[in-house]
Amino acid sequence: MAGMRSHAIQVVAAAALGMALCGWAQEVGKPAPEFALKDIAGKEHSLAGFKGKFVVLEWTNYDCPFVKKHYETGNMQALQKAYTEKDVIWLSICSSAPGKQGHFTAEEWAERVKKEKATPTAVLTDADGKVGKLYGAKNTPQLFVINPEETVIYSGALDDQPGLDREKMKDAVNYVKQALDAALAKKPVETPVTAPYGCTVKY
Amino acid sequence: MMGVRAGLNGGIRWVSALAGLCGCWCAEGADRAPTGEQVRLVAERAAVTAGAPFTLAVELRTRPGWHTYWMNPGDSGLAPALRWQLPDGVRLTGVAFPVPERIEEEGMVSFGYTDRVWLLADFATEKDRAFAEPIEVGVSVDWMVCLDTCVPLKGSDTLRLTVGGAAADGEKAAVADPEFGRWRARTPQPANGWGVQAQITRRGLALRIRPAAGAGLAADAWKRARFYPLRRGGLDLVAPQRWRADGAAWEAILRNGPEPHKAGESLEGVLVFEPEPGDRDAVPRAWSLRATVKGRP
Repeated sequence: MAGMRSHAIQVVAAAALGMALCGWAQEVGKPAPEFALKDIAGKEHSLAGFKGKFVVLEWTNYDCPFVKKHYETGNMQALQKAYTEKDVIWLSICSSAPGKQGHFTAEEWAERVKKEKATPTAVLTDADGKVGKLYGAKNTPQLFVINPEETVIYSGALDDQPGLDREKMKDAVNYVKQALDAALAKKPVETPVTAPYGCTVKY
Repeated sequence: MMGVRAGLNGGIRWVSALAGLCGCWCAEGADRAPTGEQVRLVAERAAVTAGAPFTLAVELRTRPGWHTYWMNPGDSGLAPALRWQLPDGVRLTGVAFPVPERIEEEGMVSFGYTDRVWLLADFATEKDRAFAEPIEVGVSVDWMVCLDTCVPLKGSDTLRLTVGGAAADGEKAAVADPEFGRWRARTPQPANGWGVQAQITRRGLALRIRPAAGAGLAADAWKRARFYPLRRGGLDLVAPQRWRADGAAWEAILRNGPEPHKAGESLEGVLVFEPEPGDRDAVPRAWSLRATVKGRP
Protein backbone atom coordinates (compact mmCIF):
# COMPACT_ATOMS: atom_id res chain seq x y z
CA MET A 1 0.00 0.00 0.00
CA ALA A 2 2.80 2.36 0.97
CA GLY A 3 4.62 1.42 -2.23
CA MET A 4 1.57 2.18 -4.32
CA ARG A 5 1.09 5.53 -2.66
CA SER A 6 4.67 6.56 -3.21
CA HIS A 7 4.34 5.52 -6.83
CA ALA A 8 1.23 7.66 -7.16
CA ILE A 9 3.03 10.61 -5.58
CA GLN A 10 5.93 10.24 -7.98
CA VAL A 11 3.53 10.13 -10.88
CA VAL A 12 1.72 13.25 -9.69
CA ALA A 13 5.01 15.03 -9.17
CA ALA A 14 6.19 14.03 -12.62
CA ALA A 15 2.92 15.20 -14.11
CA ALA A 16 3.11 18.53 -12.31
CA LEU A 17 6.67 18.99 -13.52
CA GLY A 18 5.68 18.08 -17.06
CA MET A 19 2.89 20.60 -17.04
CA ALA A 20 5.10 23.28 -15.57
CA LEU A 21 7.67 22.67 -18.27
CA CYS A 22 5.46 22.48 -21.30
CA GLY A 23 2.38 24.39 -20.21
CA TRP A 24 0.23 21.95 -22.08
CA ALA A 25 -2.03 19.08 -21.30
CA GLN A 26 -0.93 15.85 -19.69
CA GLU A 27 1.76 14.44 -21.92
CA VAL A 28 1.20 11.41 -24.04
CA GLY A 29 3.51 8.52 -23.23
CA LYS A 30 3.66 9.51 -19.57
CA PRO A 31 1.91 7.73 -16.69
CA ALA A 32 -1.64 8.99 -16.14
CA PRO A 33 -1.85 10.92 -12.86
CA GLU A 34 -3.79 9.06 -10.21
CA PHE A 35 -7.06 10.60 -9.01
CA ALA A 36 -10.28 9.76 -7.22
CA LEU A 37 -13.53 11.63 -7.82
CA LYS A 38 -17.14 11.15 -6.82
CA ASP A 39 -19.77 10.53 -9.44
CA ILE A 40 -23.06 12.44 -9.46
CA ALA A 41 -24.60 9.86 -7.12
CA GLY A 42 -21.76 10.28 -4.63
CA LYS A 43 -19.89 7.06 -5.42
CA GLU A 44 -16.13 7.36 -5.57
CA HIS A 45 -14.16 6.18 -8.59
CA SER A 46 -10.38 6.07 -8.69
CA LEU A 47 -8.24 5.65 -11.76
CA ALA A 48 -6.31 2.88 -9.99
CA GLY A 49 -9.60 0.99 -9.67
CA PHE A 50 -9.73 0.70 -13.48
CA LYS A 51 -6.20 -0.59 -13.94
CA GLY A 52 -6.08 -3.17 -16.69
CA LYS A 53 -8.71 -1.40 -18.78
CA PHE A 54 -8.69 1.37 -21.32
CA VAL A 55 -10.03 4.58 -19.80
CA VAL A 56 -11.37 7.65 -21.60
CA LEU A 57 -11.48 10.94 -19.70
CA GLU A 58 -13.92 13.36 -21.32
CA TRP A 59 -13.91 16.89 -19.91
CA THR A 60 -17.42 18.19 -20.30
CA ASN A 61 -19.81 21.07 -19.64
CA TYR A 62 -23.26 20.29 -21.00
CA ASP A 63 -24.04 23.99 -21.54
CA CYS A 64 -20.95 24.75 -23.61
CA PRO A 65 -21.96 25.17 -27.30
CA PHE A 66 -19.10 22.95 -28.47
CA VAL A 67 -20.19 20.17 -26.11
CA LYS A 68 -23.81 20.66 -27.14
CA LYS A 69 -22.80 20.05 -30.74
CA HIS A 70 -21.70 16.54 -29.83
CA TYR A 71 -24.56 15.74 -27.43
CA GLU A 72 -27.47 17.22 -29.38
CA THR A 73 -26.43 15.21 -32.42
CA GLY A 74 -25.93 12.02 -30.39
CA ASN A 75 -22.28 11.86 -31.44
CA MET A 76 -20.80 11.68 -27.93
CA GLN A 77 -23.41 9.25 -26.61
CA ALA A 78 -22.80 6.91 -29.56
CA LEU A 79 -19.08 6.83 -28.75
CA GLN A 80 -19.78 6.26 -25.06
CA LYS A 81 -22.10 3.38 -25.92
CA ALA A 82 -19.84 1.82 -28.56
CA TYR A 83 -16.74 1.77 -26.38
CA THR A 84 -18.25 0.94 -23.00
CA GLU A 85 -19.69 -2.10 -24.81
CA LYS A 86 -16.07 -2.98 -25.63
CA ASP A 87 -15.21 -2.84 -21.92
CA VAL A 88 -13.64 0.63 -22.18
CA ILE A 89 -14.20 2.79 -19.10
CA TRP A 90 -15.60 6.18 -20.14
CA LEU A 91 -15.48 8.89 -17.48
CA SER A 92 -17.14 12.23 -18.20
CA ILE A 93 -15.59 14.81 -15.86
CA CYS A 94 -17.04 18.23 -15.13
CA SER A 95 -14.63 20.70 -13.53
CA SER A 96 -17.08 23.63 -13.50
CA ALA A 97 -16.80 25.50 -10.20
CA PRO A 98 -19.90 26.26 -8.12
CA GLY A 99 -21.73 29.21 -9.69
CA LYS A 100 -20.11 28.64 -13.08
CA GLN A 101 -21.64 27.29 -16.25
CA GLY A 102 -22.06 23.52 -16.23
CA HIS A 103 -22.06 23.14 -12.43
CA PHE A 104 -25.16 21.44 -11.07
CA THR A 105 -26.59 20.18 -7.80
CA ALA A 106 -26.92 16.41 -7.33
CA GLU A 107 -30.61 16.52 -8.36
CA GLU A 108 -29.91 18.68 -11.40
CA TRP A 109 -27.08 16.35 -12.41
CA ALA A 110 -29.32 13.30 -12.37
CA GLU A 111 -31.86 15.12 -14.55
CA ARG A 112 -29.28 16.47 -16.96
CA VAL A 113 -27.51 13.17 -17.52
CA LYS A 114 -30.91 11.58 -18.20
CA LYS A 115 -31.93 14.40 -20.53
CA GLU A 116 -28.64 14.22 -22.44
CA LYS A 117 -29.07 10.43 -22.73
CA ALA A 118 -25.43 10.21 -21.75
CA THR A 119 -24.12 6.70 -21.22
CA PRO A 120 -20.58 6.92 -19.91
CA THR A 121 -19.37 4.56 -17.20
CA ALA A 122 -19.71 7.48 -14.79
CA VAL A 123 -20.12 11.25 -14.71
CA LEU A 124 -17.61 12.62 -12.21
CA THR A 125 -17.68 16.05 -10.60
CA ASP A 126 -14.49 17.97 -9.97
CA ALA A 127 -15.91 21.23 -8.62
CA ASP A 128 -12.62 22.34 -7.09
CA GLY A 129 -10.90 21.73 -10.44
CA LYS A 130 -8.01 19.76 -8.93
CA VAL A 131 -8.18 16.85 -11.34
CA GLY A 132 -8.81 19.14 -14.32
CA LYS A 133 -5.70 21.12 -13.49
CA LEU A 134 -3.73 17.94 -12.76
CA TYR A 135 -4.44 16.84 -16.33
CA GLY A 136 -4.08 20.34 -17.77
CA ALA A 137 -7.64 20.25 -19.12
CA LYS A 138 -8.28 23.59 -20.78
CA ASN A 139 -11.31 23.06 -22.96
CA THR A 140 -14.64 21.34 -23.14
CA PRO A 141 -14.76 18.99 -24.86
CA GLN A 142 -11.21 17.72 -24.25
CA LEU A 143 -10.31 14.07 -24.06
CA PHE A 144 -7.59 11.75 -22.84
CA VAL A 145 -7.23 8.05 -23.54
CA ILE A 146 -5.34 5.94 -20.99
CA ASN A 147 -4.20 2.41 -21.72
CA PRO A 148 -4.44 -0.60 -19.35
CA GLU A 149 -0.90 0.12 -18.14
CA GLU A 150 -2.12 3.60 -17.07
CA THR A 151 -0.15 5.46 -19.70
CA VAL A 152 -1.73 8.39 -21.54
CA ILE A 153 -1.96 7.40 -25.20
CA TYR A 154 -4.11 10.24 -26.54
CA SER A 155 -4.60 13.86 -25.51
CA GLY A 156 -6.59 16.52 -27.30
CA ALA A 157 -9.71 17.22 -29.29
CA LEU A 158 -12.53 14.81 -30.01
CA ASP A 159 -12.20 15.42 -33.74
CA ASP A 160 -10.76 17.71 -36.39
CA GLN A 161 -13.82 19.99 -36.67
CA PRO A 162 -13.40 22.89 -34.27
CA GLY A 163 -16.40 24.74 -35.70
CA LEU A 164 -20.05 24.46 -34.78
CA ASP A 165 -21.25 23.55 -38.27
CA ARG A 166 -23.11 20.28 -37.74
CA GLU A 167 -23.14 19.58 -41.48
CA LYS A 168 -19.38 19.03 -41.32
CA MET A 169 -19.58 16.41 -38.56
CA LYS A 170 -20.09 13.55 -41.01
CA ASP A 171 -16.68 14.29 -42.56
CA ALA A 172 -14.93 14.66 -39.21
CA VAL A 173 -11.85 12.63 -38.37
CA ASN A 174 -12.59 11.38 -34.87
CA TYR A 175 -9.22 11.23 -33.11
CA VAL A 176 -10.55 9.49 -30.00
CA LYS A 177 -12.18 6.76 -32.06
CA GLN A 178 -8.97 6.38 -34.06
CA ALA A 179 -6.88 6.13 -30.90
CA LEU A 180 -9.19 3.60 -29.23
CA ASP A 181 -9.58 1.46 -32.34
CA ALA A 182 -5.81 1.36 -32.86
CA ALA A 183 -5.01 0.66 -29.23
CA LEU A 184 -7.71 -2.03 -28.91
CA ALA A 185 -6.16 -3.70 -31.98
CA LYS A 186 -2.73 -3.40 -30.31
CA LYS A 187 -1.56 -0.93 -32.93
CA PRO A 188 0.20 2.38 -32.31
CA VAL A 189 -1.94 5.50 -32.15
CA GLU A 190 -1.36 7.47 -35.33
CA THR A 191 -2.29 10.92 -33.98
CA PRO A 192 -1.60 10.86 -30.24
CA VAL A 193 -1.72 14.65 -29.62
CA THR A 194 -4.01 17.30 -31.04
CA ALA A 195 -4.98 20.82 -30.02
CA PRO A 196 -8.27 20.71 -28.13
CA TYR A 197 -10.94 23.23 -29.10
CA GLY A 198 -14.08 24.54 -27.49
CA CYS A 199 -15.04 26.51 -24.42
CA THR A 200 -12.67 27.13 -21.55
CA VAL A 201 -13.06 24.81 -18.58
CA LYS A 202 -15.05 26.87 -16.08
CA TYR A 203 -12.64 26.55 -13.12
CA MET B 1 -3.41 46.99 -25.36
CA MET B 2 -3.92 50.31 -23.60
CA GLY B 3 -3.07 52.06 -26.81
CA VAL B 4 -5.75 50.20 -28.70
CA ARG B 5 -8.39 50.98 -26.15
CA ALA B 6 -7.41 54.62 -25.98
CA GLY B 7 -7.42 54.86 -29.75
CA LEU B 8 -10.91 53.45 -29.88
CA ASN B 9 -12.43 55.80 -27.34
CA GLY B 10 -14.27 57.69 -30.02
CA GLY B 11 -15.60 54.45 -31.37
CA ILE B 12 -16.77 53.29 -27.98
CA ARG B 13 -18.73 56.50 -27.48
CA TRP B 14 -20.28 55.99 -30.88
CA VAL B 15 -21.25 52.44 -29.99
CA SER B 16 -22.84 53.63 -26.76
CA ALA B 17 -24.99 56.06 -28.73
CA LEU B 18 -26.00 53.32 -31.12
CA ALA B 19 -26.68 50.89 -28.29
CA GLY B 20 -29.20 53.40 -26.98
CA LEU B 21 -30.99 53.35 -30.32
CA CYS B 22 -30.75 49.58 -30.51
CA GLY B 23 -32.52 49.27 -27.17
CA CYS B 24 -35.59 50.80 -28.84
CA TRP B 25 -35.82 48.56 -31.87
CA CYS B 26 -34.80 45.38 -30.10
CA ALA B 27 -37.65 45.87 -27.64
CA GLU B 28 -40.10 45.71 -30.54
CA GLY B 29 -39.55 41.98 -30.93
CA ALA B 30 -41.02 40.83 -27.64
CA ASP B 31 -39.51 37.36 -27.92
CA ARG B 32 -36.02 38.64 -28.60
CA ALA B 33 -33.77 39.48 -25.71
CA PRO B 34 -32.21 42.94 -26.18
CA THR B 35 -28.73 41.56 -26.22
CA GLY B 36 -27.18 44.30 -28.31
CA GLU B 37 -25.26 41.96 -30.58
CA GLN B 38 -25.39 42.95 -34.19
CA VAL B 39 -24.04 42.20 -37.65
CA ARG B 40 -24.10 45.29 -39.85
CA LEU B 41 -22.76 46.05 -43.31
CA VAL B 42 -21.33 49.52 -43.87
CA ALA B 43 -20.42 50.94 -47.28
CA GLU B 44 -17.35 53.10 -47.54
CA ARG B 45 -18.88 55.04 -50.41
CA ALA B 46 -22.50 55.53 -51.38
CA ALA B 47 -21.95 54.37 -54.97
CA VAL B 48 -19.75 51.80 -56.64
CA THR B 49 -18.22 52.16 -60.07
CA ALA B 50 -18.25 49.36 -62.63
CA GLY B 51 -14.67 48.18 -63.09
CA ALA B 52 -13.45 49.71 -59.84
CA PRO B 53 -12.92 47.95 -56.51
CA PHE B 54 -14.96 48.87 -53.45
CA THR B 55 -14.87 48.10 -49.75
CA LEU B 56 -17.58 47.19 -47.28
CA ALA B 57 -17.18 46.76 -43.55
CA VAL B 58 -18.79 43.93 -41.65
CA GLU B 59 -19.35 45.30 -38.19
CA LEU B 60 -19.64 42.68 -35.46
CA ARG B 61 -20.87 44.23 -32.26
CA THR B 62 -20.97 42.31 -29.00
CA ARG B 63 -22.53 43.09 -25.67
CA PRO B 64 -20.32 45.56 -23.76
CA GLY B 65 -17.25 43.79 -22.38
CA TRP B 66 -17.78 40.63 -24.42
CA HIS B 67 -15.47 39.65 -27.24
CA THR B 68 -15.60 37.95 -30.59
CA TYR B 69 -12.69 36.33 -32.38
CA TRP B 70 -9.88 36.78 -34.88
CA MET B 71 -9.14 34.26 -37.68
CA ASN B 72 -7.27 32.16 -35.11
CA PRO B 73 -9.46 32.29 -32.01
CA GLY B 74 -6.60 30.99 -29.85
CA ASP B 75 -7.01 28.44 -27.06
CA SER B 76 -10.82 28.61 -27.05
CA GLY B 77 -13.68 30.16 -29.01
CA LEU B 78 -14.42 30.30 -32.71
CA ALA B 79 -13.51 32.49 -35.67
CA PRO B 80 -16.39 34.24 -37.46
CA ALA B 81 -17.46 32.55 -40.70
CA LEU B 82 -18.80 34.87 -43.43
CA ARG B 83 -20.96 33.81 -46.35
CA TRP B 84 -21.62 36.39 -49.03
CA GLN B 85 -24.55 36.83 -51.36
CA LEU B 86 -23.22 38.79 -54.31
CA PRO B 87 -24.75 39.94 -57.60
CA ASP B 88 -23.25 38.74 -60.87
CA GLY B 89 -20.21 40.79 -61.76
CA VAL B 90 -19.14 41.37 -58.16
CA ARG B 91 -16.36 39.26 -56.66
CA LEU B 92 -14.93 39.17 -53.13
CA THR B 93 -11.15 39.62 -53.28
CA GLY B 94 -10.34 39.49 -49.58
CA VAL B 95 -11.41 40.16 -46.01
CA ALA B 96 -8.99 41.98 -43.72
CA PHE B 97 -9.19 41.32 -40.00
CA PRO B 98 -7.70 44.11 -37.87
CA VAL B 99 -4.95 43.25 -35.39
CA PRO B 100 -6.76 41.48 -32.56
CA GLU B 101 -6.35 41.98 -28.87
CA ARG B 102 -4.40 39.25 -27.12
CA ILE B 103 -6.63 38.33 -24.21
CA GLU B 104 -4.79 36.21 -21.64
CA GLU B 105 -6.84 34.64 -18.89
CA GLU B 106 -6.14 31.70 -16.60
CA GLY B 107 -3.28 30.31 -18.64
CA MET B 108 -5.09 30.55 -21.96
CA VAL B 109 -4.92 33.09 -24.76
CA SER B 110 -7.72 34.31 -27.00
CA PHE B 111 -7.24 36.53 -30.03
CA GLY B 112 -10.29 38.72 -30.42
CA TYR B 113 -12.08 42.00 -30.27
CA THR B 114 -13.81 43.44 -27.24
CA ASP B 115 -17.11 45.26 -27.92
CA ARG B 116 -16.88 45.46 -31.68
CA VAL B 117 -14.80 45.06 -34.80
CA TRP B 118 -14.95 46.08 -38.44
CA LEU B 119 -13.81 43.43 -40.89
CA LEU B 120 -12.95 45.13 -44.17
CA ALA B 121 -14.13 43.22 -47.23
CA ASP B 122 -12.74 44.18 -50.64
CA PHE B 123 -14.64 43.54 -53.85
CA ALA B 124 -13.86 43.72 -57.54
CA THR B 125 -16.50 44.66 -60.12
CA GLU B 126 -16.64 43.79 -63.81
CA LYS B 127 -15.81 46.73 -66.00
CA ASP B 128 -18.16 46.16 -68.89
CA ARG B 129 -21.18 44.89 -67.06
CA ALA B 130 -24.43 46.84 -67.12
CA PHE B 131 -25.44 46.45 -63.49
CA ALA B 132 -29.14 46.60 -62.70
CA GLU B 133 -29.37 49.22 -60.01
CA PRO B 134 -29.30 49.10 -57.14
CA ILE B 135 -27.00 46.14 -56.61
CA GLU B 136 -27.60 44.15 -53.45
CA VAL B 137 -24.80 42.68 -51.34
CA GLY B 138 -25.61 40.42 -48.43
CA VAL B 139 -23.59 38.68 -45.76
CA SER B 140 -24.51 35.92 -43.30
CA VAL B 141 -22.23 35.47 -40.33
CA ASP B 142 -21.83 32.58 -37.92
CA TRP B 143 -19.93 33.98 -34.99
CA MET B 144 -19.38 33.52 -31.32
CA VAL B 145 -19.27 35.96 -28.43
CA CYS B 146 -17.72 35.05 -25.10
CA LEU B 147 -17.17 36.48 -21.67
CA ASP B 148 -17.57 33.97 -18.83
CA THR B 149 -19.61 31.83 -21.17
CA CYS B 150 -19.83 31.58 -24.96
CA VAL B 151 -22.85 32.18 -27.14
CA PRO B 152 -22.92 31.13 -30.80
CA LEU B 153 -24.76 33.66 -32.98
CA LYS B 154 -26.08 33.93 -36.49
CA GLY B 155 -26.56 37.30 -38.07
CA SER B 156 -26.97 38.83 -41.49
CA ASP B 157 -27.33 42.15 -43.22
CA THR B 158 -27.91 43.42 -46.74
CA LEU B 159 -26.86 46.64 -48.41
CA ARG B 160 -28.12 48.24 -51.60
CA LEU B 161 -25.57 50.22 -53.52
CA THR B 162 -26.02 52.47 -56.51
CA VAL B 163 -23.66 52.10 -59.44
CA GLY B 164 -22.01 55.22 -60.79
CA GLY B 165 -21.91 55.25 -64.60
CA ALA B 166 -18.42 56.68 -64.74
CA ALA B 167 -15.63 57.05 -62.28
CA ALA B 168 -16.20 60.77 -62.08
CA ASP B 169 -19.82 60.30 -61.05
CA GLY B 170 -18.77 57.67 -58.56
CA GLU B 171 -16.32 60.09 -57.01
CA LYS B 172 -18.97 62.76 -56.83
CA ALA B 173 -21.34 60.48 -54.98
CA ALA B 174 -18.63 59.32 -52.66
CA VAL B 175 -18.94 60.18 -49.01
CA ALA B 176 -16.15 58.25 -47.31
CA ASP B 177 -16.87 57.17 -43.76
CA PRO B 178 -13.82 58.21 -41.70
CA GLU B 179 -14.25 55.13 -39.56
CA PHE B 180 -12.86 53.09 -42.46
CA GLY B 181 -9.54 54.86 -42.15
CA ARG B 182 -9.35 54.13 -38.47
CA TRP B 183 -9.92 50.39 -38.96
CA ARG B 184 -7.64 50.26 -41.98
CA ALA B 185 -4.87 51.68 -39.79
CA ARG B 186 -5.30 48.65 -37.53
CA THR B 187 -5.09 46.13 -40.38
CA PRO B 188 -1.78 44.30 -40.89
CA GLN B 189 0.26 45.36 -43.91
CA PRO B 190 1.81 42.93 -46.39
CA ALA B 191 5.45 42.31 -45.47
CA ASN B 192 6.80 43.30 -48.88
CA GLY B 193 10.58 43.36 -48.86
CA TRP B 194 10.84 41.65 -45.49
CA GLY B 195 13.04 38.63 -44.92
CA VAL B 196 11.15 35.90 -43.08
CA GLN B 197 12.55 32.49 -42.12
CA ALA B 198 11.07 29.79 -39.93
CA GLN B 199 13.07 26.76 -38.84
CA ILE B 200 12.32 23.87 -36.54
CA THR B 201 14.76 23.65 -33.65
CA ARG B 202 15.01 21.47 -30.58
CA ARG B 203 13.54 24.24 -28.43
CA GLY B 204 10.72 25.31 -30.73
CA LEU B 205 10.15 27.17 -33.95
CA ALA B 206 12.84 29.75 -34.70
CA LEU B 207 11.31 32.75 -36.43
CA ARG B 208 13.84 35.11 -37.94
CA ILE B 209 12.78 38.33 -39.61
CA ARG B 210 14.50 41.23 -41.27
CA PRO B 211 12.15 44.21 -41.61
CA ALA B 212 12.10 46.06 -44.90
CA ALA B 213 14.10 49.26 -44.84
CA GLY B 214 10.99 51.32 -45.41
CA ALA B 215 9.01 49.76 -42.58
CA GLY B 216 9.74 52.72 -40.33
CA LEU B 217 10.34 50.63 -37.23
CA ALA B 218 12.66 51.78 -34.47
CA ALA B 219 15.89 49.81 -34.06
CA ASP B 220 14.61 48.43 -30.76
CA ALA B 221 11.06 47.72 -31.95
CA TRP B 222 11.76 43.98 -31.52
CA LYS B 223 11.36 44.51 -27.76
CA ARG B 224 7.64 45.04 -28.32
CA ALA B 225 7.15 42.35 -30.98
CA ARG B 226 4.85 39.37 -30.78
CA PHE B 227 3.92 36.87 -33.47
CA TYR B 228 0.27 35.86 -33.70
CA PRO B 229 0.04 32.61 -35.71
CA LEU B 230 -2.87 32.05 -38.05
CA ARG B 231 -3.08 28.31 -37.42
CA ARG B 232 -4.58 27.08 -34.17
CA GLY B 233 -2.52 24.68 -32.07
CA GLY B 234 0.87 25.10 -33.74
CA LEU B 235 2.43 27.39 -31.16
CA ASP B 236 2.07 27.80 -27.42
CA LEU B 237 0.27 31.14 -27.21
CA VAL B 238 0.87 31.67 -23.52
CA ALA B 239 4.66 31.26 -23.53
CA PRO B 240 6.66 34.49 -23.62
CA GLN B 241 8.30 35.22 -26.96
CA ARG B 242 11.82 36.30 -26.26
CA TRP B 243 12.86 38.34 -29.28
CA ARG B 244 16.45 39.38 -29.71
CA ALA B 245 18.31 41.45 -32.26
CA ASP B 246 21.01 39.84 -34.36
CA GLY B 247 22.41 42.60 -36.50
CA ALA B 248 19.63 43.80 -38.77
CA ALA B 249 17.62 40.63 -38.14
CA TRP B 250 15.35 39.84 -35.20
CA GLU B 251 14.82 36.34 -33.92
CA ALA B 252 12.69 34.47 -31.39
CA ILE B 253 12.32 30.80 -30.54
CA LEU B 254 8.58 30.20 -30.38
CA ARG B 255 7.48 27.37 -28.12
CA ASN B 256 5.52 24.63 -29.84
CA GLY B 257 1.85 23.98 -29.18
CA PRO B 258 0.20 20.56 -29.26
CA GLU B 259 0.27 20.42 -33.08
CA PRO B 260 3.71 21.80 -33.98
CA HIS B 261 4.39 23.23 -37.44
CA LYS B 262 6.00 20.69 -39.75
CA ALA B 263 8.80 21.08 -42.27
CA GLY B 264 7.41 22.26 -45.58
CA GLU B 265 4.33 23.75 -43.99
CA SER B 266 3.55 27.38 -44.64
CA LEU B 267 3.77 29.36 -41.41
CA GLU B 268 1.43 32.31 -41.58
CA GLY B 269 0.66 34.95 -39.05
CA VAL B 270 0.91 38.54 -38.02
CA LEU B 271 3.89 40.20 -36.38
CA VAL B 272 2.54 42.83 -34.03
CA PHE B 273 4.49 45.71 -32.54
CA GLU B 274 2.76 47.22 -29.55
CA PRO B 275 2.96 51.01 -29.32
CA GLU B 276 5.59 52.51 -27.05
CA PRO B 277 4.46 52.60 -23.44
CA GLY B 278 2.75 55.91 -22.80
CA ASP B 279 1.90 56.42 -26.47
CA ARG B 280 -1.82 56.28 -25.74
CA ASP B 281 -3.16 57.30 -29.14
CA ALA B 282 -1.06 54.90 -31.17
CA VAL B 283 -2.39 51.62 -32.50
CA PRO B 284 -0.23 48.53 -32.85
CA ARG B 285 1.61 48.25 -36.15
CA ALA B 286 1.50 44.86 -37.78
CA TRP B 287 2.69 42.97 -40.82
CA SER B 288 1.39 39.74 -42.29
CA LEU B 289 4.21 37.21 -42.50
CA ARG B 290 4.54 33.97 -44.37
CA ALA B 291 7.41 31.51 -44.52
CA THR B 292 7.89 27.89 -45.51
CA VAL B 293 9.00 26.02 -42.40
CA LYS B 294 12.43 24.42 -42.73
CA GLY B 295 13.31 21.18 -40.97
CA ARG B 296 16.01 20.89 -38.32
CA PRO B 297 19.44 21.93 -39.56
